[in-house]
Amino acid sequence: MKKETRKLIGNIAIGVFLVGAALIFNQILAATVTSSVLVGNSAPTASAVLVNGGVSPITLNANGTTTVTVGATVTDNNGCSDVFTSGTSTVYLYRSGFTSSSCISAQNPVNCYKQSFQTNSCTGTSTTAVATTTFNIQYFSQATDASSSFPGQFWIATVIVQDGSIATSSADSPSTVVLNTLTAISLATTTINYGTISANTNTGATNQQVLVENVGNSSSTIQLSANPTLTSGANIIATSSQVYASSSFTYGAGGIALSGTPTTVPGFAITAPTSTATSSKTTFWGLAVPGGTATGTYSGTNVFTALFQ
Amino acid sequence: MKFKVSSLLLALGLIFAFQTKIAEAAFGISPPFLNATYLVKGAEYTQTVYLIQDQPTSDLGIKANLEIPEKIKPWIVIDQGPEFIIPQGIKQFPVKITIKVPNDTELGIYNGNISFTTKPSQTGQVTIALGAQLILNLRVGDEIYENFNVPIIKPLDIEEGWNPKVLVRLNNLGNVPEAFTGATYELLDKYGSVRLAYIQKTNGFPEVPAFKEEEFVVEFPIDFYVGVGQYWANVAFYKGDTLIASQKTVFNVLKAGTLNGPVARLLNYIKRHEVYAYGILALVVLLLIFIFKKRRRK
Repeated sequence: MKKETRKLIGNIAIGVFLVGAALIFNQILAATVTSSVLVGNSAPTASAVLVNGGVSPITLNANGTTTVTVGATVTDNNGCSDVFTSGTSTVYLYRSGFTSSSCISAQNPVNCYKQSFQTNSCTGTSTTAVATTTFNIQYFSQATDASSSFPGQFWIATVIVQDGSIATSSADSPSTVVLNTLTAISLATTTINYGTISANTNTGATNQQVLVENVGNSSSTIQLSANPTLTSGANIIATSSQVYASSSFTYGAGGIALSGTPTTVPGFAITAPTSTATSSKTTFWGLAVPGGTATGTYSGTNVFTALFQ
Repeated sequence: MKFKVSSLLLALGLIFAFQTKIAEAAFGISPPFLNATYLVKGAEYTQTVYLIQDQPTSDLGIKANLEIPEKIKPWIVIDQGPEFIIPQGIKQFPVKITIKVPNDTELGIYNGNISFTTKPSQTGQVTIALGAQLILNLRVGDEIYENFNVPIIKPLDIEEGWNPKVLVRLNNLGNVPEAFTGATYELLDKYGSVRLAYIQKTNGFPEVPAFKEEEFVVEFPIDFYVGVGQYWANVAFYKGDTLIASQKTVFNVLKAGTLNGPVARLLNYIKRHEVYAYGILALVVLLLIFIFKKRRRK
């Protein structure tokens, strides 16, 4: 064998040895090196916040509550369960002029409500969920329509989501949903009974009372009228024989004669309620039965019309 | 004896309490005013008011009475008519009031009211009926009034290969038609961090008539295939240089056929690949003509 040939074989052998050694060394290293990764926390986000499904205006129920939904899309790249299982969600619904910071500090059913999301679509390892909650808005919540005390304002929602690592973010709904004024009244009685009155006499200092309660969110007054007047068969007691006032009176010495035309009661303003406590005023009633009126049971209808003030 | 007297007083007290508990159901209106102060000649303006009651235990008869200037009485239409019934169980009953301003009317301010009165539910010496009043403030002028808002911008879920779509609701409160003049759509990956596409649109926006609210879908043509998965969309709508409304949120791209059937899929394919699709269709039609003619010769 030539010298060059032996040298070549020797070099090849060394090369094979080195490659083999490298492979073995690599195997040893591979067997001992462990790989690891730290998955960092990703802050959750809320988006597409909608009040009342984006439908404006909100119309309140009288003397009760109205349901208003707030929906949002909540995303957390660590999984939406990081918010809905390990974290928290808070939804504030408020009149825009009251501001989110005031609402976060203290809630009042007149202008600010707080709640958590009640339902969500978060499942398994999904990162996004649609969440909703329902507020029961009181009848005295403040209106923001054109003739209200807060024109140009809206009812908006702020959603604050927090994950298990206390990372938070927030989002607001668009300023487009108005809460309408509600003018509504409720009376404490359905009839006025004067009892038995002889012809050519009147109720004197005895007044029948009708309590009028404001069950809306506006300051209100009333208009009164008779339709129809008191009748008993073909016999009639004139509409003006009934007299009313906003305070007690003696027939003939005070009060306003009832009319067939709706007439606003002077000085009779019921302020808007600010809680479920009653906001009300009383109307006082008297009647005269003219001489020559035939005996009988007379009946008629008095109309109490609620009027925005 | 003491027990008997106190029992008697308690019984009387209870009778009194029950008597005073008899109350008229609440009745009202929301909103209690109709302010149409930017009317122009020929305009049509509609507002829905709700008659509200808290104890809808039976049908409730309602009578509407208009106290407005004779001149404008023909302008006003109450969809329910002058007398109607609110069915049992309905707490909020909608009544649409439409104002149709004639083309030949004079400019002016018109005020009045509409009273809605219930029929009394009780009988007695003097029964009480409740009512609620709608105050009308109308003004017919000739100036342009622009006012609109966008309550909803919602990137819609789509199928793979479709163009991105956005649902929009535009509420036009002004007296002239309104439309966007531009929009942008930024398509981002599922983490909202990598921009995949950016689309600008400057035409094809529907016009919303004066005093109307309408919902429509805006499509953003895209030149690459959007595969199945979750994405973020950052959408903005403009009028001139003014940003009107924007939204950044997630949406889903679903497997083909999830939202639409095969016919809709074919139509969508044609829409997306117009040139090729029409070419293929033309070839198919030519082939059919050829076969048809050959059969006729036989």
